[in-house]
Amino acid sequence: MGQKIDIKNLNFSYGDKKVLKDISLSFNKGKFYSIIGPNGSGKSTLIKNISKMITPSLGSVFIDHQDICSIKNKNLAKMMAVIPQNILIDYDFTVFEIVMMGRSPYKRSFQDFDSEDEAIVERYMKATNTWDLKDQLITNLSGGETQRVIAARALSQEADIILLDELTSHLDIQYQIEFLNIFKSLKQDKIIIAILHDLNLASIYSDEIILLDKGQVIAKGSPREVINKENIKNVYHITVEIFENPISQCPYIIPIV
Amino acid sequence: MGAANIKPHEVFMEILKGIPFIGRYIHTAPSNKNFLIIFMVRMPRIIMASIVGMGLAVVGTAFQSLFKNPMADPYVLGVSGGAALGAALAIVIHLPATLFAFIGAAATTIMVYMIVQVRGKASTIYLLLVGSSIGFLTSSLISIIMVFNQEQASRIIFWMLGSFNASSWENIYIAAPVVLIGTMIISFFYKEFNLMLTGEETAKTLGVETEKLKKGTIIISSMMIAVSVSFSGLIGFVGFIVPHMARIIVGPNNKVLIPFSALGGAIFLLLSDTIGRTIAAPGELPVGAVTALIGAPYFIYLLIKMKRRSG
Repeated sequence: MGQKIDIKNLNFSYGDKKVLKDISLSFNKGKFYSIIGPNGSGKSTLIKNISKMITPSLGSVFIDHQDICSIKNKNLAKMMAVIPQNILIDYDFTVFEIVMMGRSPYKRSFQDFDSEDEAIVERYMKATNTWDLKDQLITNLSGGETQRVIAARALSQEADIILLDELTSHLDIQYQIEFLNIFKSLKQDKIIIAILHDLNLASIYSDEIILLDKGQVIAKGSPREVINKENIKNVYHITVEIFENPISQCPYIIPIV
Repeated sequence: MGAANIKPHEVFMEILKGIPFIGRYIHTAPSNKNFLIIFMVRMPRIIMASIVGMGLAVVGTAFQSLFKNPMADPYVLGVSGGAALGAALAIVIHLPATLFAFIGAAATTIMVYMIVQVRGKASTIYLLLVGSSIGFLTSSLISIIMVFNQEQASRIIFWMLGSFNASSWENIYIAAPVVLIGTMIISFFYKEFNLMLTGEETAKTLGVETEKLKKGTIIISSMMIAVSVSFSGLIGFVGFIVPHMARIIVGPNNKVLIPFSALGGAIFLLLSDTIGRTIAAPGELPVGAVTALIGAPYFIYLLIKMKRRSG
């Protein structure tokens, strides 16, 4: 389950506005993918289509050759976990209760969580450094803590595909790194797709980068193939200089102002 | 006790008499009047108040998950008004009031939900504005119906005030199964409602068939509102005040919250009705006035508190 995602000729419109135009992509297990592109390029809309939050106007998304529209939400939730862009929970659930919700795809209605679920939740809470917070109320946590709790919940789904929707946009750098490290360490047996704003972070963490602009794929491939002066100029309309990152040998961007 | 003076021990004896087998051994002075008052007036009233209280509180908790807003209440959102409009219309054209109340409740719930959906995640203020506008609309339509049907006006006014005065066993035989089964179905989906509280998209990605859940909630809630409104009129704030108090005590987890609210709602409305009919005995305060007297100030207080926290 969740070995491969294929997007075939995906189109999506909000009313008359075409947001995604004829997108075809494939994602394979064991890799970290980043989607980059300016605001309004369709990154979030693409993630929402892959996660069945919205239905494509034309074309389809397939997981292991099965159209996601024909997969029940419950079965999809066992294959795919989504970390949303805005995490806003107004209700005083405890952190433990929130993470436990990640186990609900495995339960029937009215079936309660059992000790096996508790063991799984405990494991992932320890992995995300949130076990100490388990009895606190979710409403009292800081942004960074909340994000880690949601990561623990997503991991508790034990899904092979993890989608991260613009997760790091309002986090301090140390939390961004800490957060991305969690997923990088898990990538061997998962497909991880993240929307990233910071091109240098995308360059460091990704096996493959997809550059979107105006709803179209402008470039895809390794960081070295995608992050070059021409592509950045075309899409972001800025002039940059690109060096080789001395530690990870990936491209490193510096804007010229 | 009460407007008709029956002593407590007489009440006890009469109740025992009503129970099969034991009743045979109770010999009291023949007092059919007491028996009638207790079994045909007071008992149905007490049971009806408890059932309606339970139903309104459970619908309130379900609505709060559906609208993802702790202030959602069938009365405040105009849904009870929609049910009353349906019932009023049915009375005038001599059709079953409960059925029309159901249609009215379902139609207004869907209408409020659609209007709120247009703006994405609705703020509390927006939700309340939409709800109270729908409330104004339904009450003005009811007024129009009354003007053109003077002879039915007094029966319709009953819906606007809310009272358990006309409770009968026949009504209970309809209301009790609807409310009890509705409560059971809603509590059955406690995990799904919990997930809805953390956001609809999240609920979807965690496996909830959100569209089905929403439709089911609207249908079941509308049935529960329909029986309570068509048998006891417009009783406001129960669906908001009871779950809110319950949440303070047991937290937001619907697994505990729904049964706790059900019980709390029954107690709350029974108490309100008892206050209503004893405080000015032999006169009687409509129970809707009592709940509004308690609920409305609390509602305003919470709105102010919420505003402070977010501002």
